[in-house]
Amino acid sequence: MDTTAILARLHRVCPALATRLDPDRPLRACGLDSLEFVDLLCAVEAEFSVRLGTDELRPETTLRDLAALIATRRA
Amino acid sequence: MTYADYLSQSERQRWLLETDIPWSEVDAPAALTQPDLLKRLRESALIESFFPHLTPRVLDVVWDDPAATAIFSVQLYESYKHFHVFNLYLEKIGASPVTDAEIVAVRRRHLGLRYDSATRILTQYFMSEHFAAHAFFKDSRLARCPALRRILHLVAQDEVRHSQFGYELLDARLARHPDERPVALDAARHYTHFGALVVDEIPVPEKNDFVAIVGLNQRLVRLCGEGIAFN
Repeated sequence: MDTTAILARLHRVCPALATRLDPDRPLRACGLDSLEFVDLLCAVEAEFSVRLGTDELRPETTLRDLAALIATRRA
Repeated sequence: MTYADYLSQSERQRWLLETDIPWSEVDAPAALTQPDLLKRLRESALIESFFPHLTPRVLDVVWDDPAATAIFSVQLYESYKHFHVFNLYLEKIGASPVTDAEIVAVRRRHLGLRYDSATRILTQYFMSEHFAAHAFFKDSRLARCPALRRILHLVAQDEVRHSQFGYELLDARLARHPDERPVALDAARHYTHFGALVVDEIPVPEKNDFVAIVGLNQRLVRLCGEGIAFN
């Protein structure tokens, strides 16, 4: 699965969060707070069976980086 | 937040004890290598078992907000489900589950529990659930037993939703009663987790979770225009 498909699925499973996120801006810069990070990573686990901890996301991580990370873990 | 929104979100995320937990993957030997985590799980079970006693007291002060009363009724159902799944897991791995006698003893200590401010209670509620979501999420990453990882993941997801609805109900209440912002801030600054009514020490995998505290402060700033830090 490529990152574009993952981004589309992320938009589907977290509509409230995804509409606020620009794929190429850091998640933190898009205004995500810690609870929303937990929400996002729970959704990632539920949708892709990929378990990520909050410490695996750097301050500069974008939604596209996250999609790439998911793709790598699923490979 | 309306009850319809909350109900729809809850239904989408609803999980079933029988089919969504991989009970066949319970790994008792792996679980028993993590006594600290199991202790937190047991104490969390006891805290979750307290909600049938706590929630009616909360309903007493949010009676003038029909959405809040209905949403808290769903929250009550889910909290006791958390207790039940934690306790069932403890039983399956041969650890000591929480007993009815313990549950009753805690409730007996709080027979006179009463609240007088919806703003205060909503602040305490959304903050407690915020920390619970972070704690269960962290423990879901730490757990070695696959079944426990799944349980904690599902519960963390529920707690995210609980905190979010507490926050949104408080936001709506403060919009109706802007003069109560100082009350919310005061409640935040004197915050104690609901679990402190039940156990001596709140079960968290990481004390002073900086990320969770910063996230909470961001939310308070959005609600009240200022955060927990004193100037």
